[in-house]
Amino acid sequence: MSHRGAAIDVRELTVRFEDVLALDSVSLSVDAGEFVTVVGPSGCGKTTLLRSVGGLQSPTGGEISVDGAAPESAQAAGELGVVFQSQTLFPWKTALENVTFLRELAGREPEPDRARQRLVAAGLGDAVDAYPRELSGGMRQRVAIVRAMHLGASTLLMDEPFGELDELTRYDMAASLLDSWRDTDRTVLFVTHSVPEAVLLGDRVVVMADSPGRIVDRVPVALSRPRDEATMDTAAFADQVAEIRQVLRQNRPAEPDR
Amino acid sequence: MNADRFPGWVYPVAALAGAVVLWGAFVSLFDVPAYLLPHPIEVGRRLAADPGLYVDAAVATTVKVLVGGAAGTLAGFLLGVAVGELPSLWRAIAPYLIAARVLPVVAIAPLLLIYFGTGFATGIAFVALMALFPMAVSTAAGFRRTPEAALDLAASVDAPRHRVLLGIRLPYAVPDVVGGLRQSATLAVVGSVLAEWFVADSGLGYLILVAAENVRPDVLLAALSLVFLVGFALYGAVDLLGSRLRRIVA
Ligand SMILES: Nc1ncnc2c1ncn2[C@@H]1O[C@H](COP(=O)(O)OP(=O)(O)OP(=O)(O)O)[C@@H](O)[C@H]1O
Ligand SMILES: [Mg+2]
Repeated sequence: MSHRGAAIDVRELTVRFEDVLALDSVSLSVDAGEFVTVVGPSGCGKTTLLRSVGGLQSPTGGEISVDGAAPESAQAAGELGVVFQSQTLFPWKTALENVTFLRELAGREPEPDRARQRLVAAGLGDAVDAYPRELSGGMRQRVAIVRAMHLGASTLLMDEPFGELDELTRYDMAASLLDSWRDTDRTVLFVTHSVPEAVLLGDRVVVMADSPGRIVDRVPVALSRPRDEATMDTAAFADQVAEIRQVLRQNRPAEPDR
Repeated sequence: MNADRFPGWVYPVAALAGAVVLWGAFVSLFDVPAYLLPHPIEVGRRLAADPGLYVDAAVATTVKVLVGGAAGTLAGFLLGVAVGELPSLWRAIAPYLIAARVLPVVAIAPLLLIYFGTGFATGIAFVALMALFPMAVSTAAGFRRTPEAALDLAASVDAPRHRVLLGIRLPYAVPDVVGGLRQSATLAVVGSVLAEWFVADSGLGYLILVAAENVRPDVLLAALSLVFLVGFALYGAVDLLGSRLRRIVA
C-alpha cells in the first residue's frame, strides 16, 4: 500500500434507476498510484460505478471520496481525468484544440506545445491538426485519452477507452498507457470488456456481476512489471486470465427454465 | 457527372429568366389584356418611367426589414439563450412561444397601432415581433441539443457556466440558430409588407395597396418584383452568413 493511502474510497455505494438496481452496496478502495481494472458483463454497472466516482452520477446511497473529499472537490481541483465510453470530441476543434480545450475548461493554461508532444508520442503526429471527422474511431479514442492525460489529473477514470480498437492497436495503446502511467504515478480506474487487457494493465482486477450490479471478486494480479507483449505469452498470465474467466462464469445468471 | 459545371447562383437565375420569358410568351400568345396581367416589358417600362418612386419605396421597405428584423432576431436569440440555459423558464413559456408561431402575429397589429401610432415605430415593432418567435424557438431547441457526454466532460472539470455556454452549448446550437435566422429573415420581409398595408404610409407594401385600389396591375407587379428582389437579396446574404457560421462548427 502506498503511503498516500486510498485515492478512491467507495463505501456501500447503491445506485438505483427506477426499477433497476444498477449498483447494490458496492465497496472499493483504490490506493494512490494503483491501477485497478474492472470487468463484468454488459449492464452490470461498470459505467455507473465510474460515473459515480467521477461525481457525474449522484448515489442513491453510500459514500464516495476521491483524495479524501467528495468527487465534486476533485472535479473543481481538476484532479479527475475522465475518458468516456461514448465519443466526446468537439467536431469544430482539431485534435490539438480538443486536447488543450479540456485544460481551458478547467481554468488552466492550455500548453499547446506539450499537447502536441503528447499527440506525437501517441502516434498521432499526422493527426494533430485534423478534425475528428477526418480521424478513424480508434484515432479519436486516442485523442480523448491524450486529452485526459494532458489535463494533468492525479486520478484517471477510463470507460472502455480501447473499445473500438482492433487487437493489435489495443495492445499498442495499452503499452503506451502503461508507459505514461509508470512515468507519472497516477491512480487509474479502468473499465474493460477484455479479461486479458484487464490482467495486462491492472494491479488488481475487480470482477462484477449483474442483476443487481455488484462486485463479486477482487483478484490481485501477480505479474511483475514492467509488462509487455511477452508477458501475455507466459503461463502465469494465462492462469490469471483463466481464473478471472472462471469467476465470471460462476456468476453468470442461471438459464431461465424452459 | 457535370452537376457542378456552373456556379451555384446560375441555376436560380436561369429559372427566373425562364419564368419571365414564359410569362411574356403567355401574355403575347393569348392576348391577355393588360388590366389582368401586363407583359413583363410593360412592367419594366413602369419601373423605368418613375424610378424615384420605386427606389424610395424599396428603401423604406428595406429599412423596416433590416432594422425590425435585426431587433427581433437579436431579441429572439437572447430569449432563446435564456430559456436554453434555464430549463424551468423554458417549461414555463414554451407553450406560449410555440403558440405564438401558430397565432397570426397580424392579429396584434391593431394593438400596435394604438401603442405606437401610424408611423415608423409601428412597422418596426411589427417586423420585430414577426422575426422574434422563430429565432427564439430555434435557438432554444439548439441549446437543448448539447450532447449529455459533452456536458459530463465539462462537469468532470467543474467548468464555469459561461465557458460551457460559449465554448460548448453555443457551437452545438449553431445549426438551429442558422435555421432560425433563415425563418426570421423570410418573416421580416413578409412582416414589412403587411405592416405597410395596415400602417399605409410608405414602402412597397403601401405601393401595392394603392395600385390594387386603382386597378393598376403594372404598378402592382413592378412593386412586387422589387419585394421579391429585396427578399432574394436578404435571403442570399443570410444564407451566406449561415453557411459561414456552420462551417466554423462543422
Ligand atoms: N441514466 C439511466 N437511466 C436508467 N437506467 C440506467 C441509466 N444508466 C444506466 N442504467 C441501467 O443501469 C444498469 C447499469 O448500466 P451501466 O451503463 O453502468 O452498465 P455497464 O456495465 O457500463 O454496461 P456496458 O458494458 O454495456 O457499458 C443497466 O441496467 C442500465 O440499463
Ligand atoms: Mg458502460
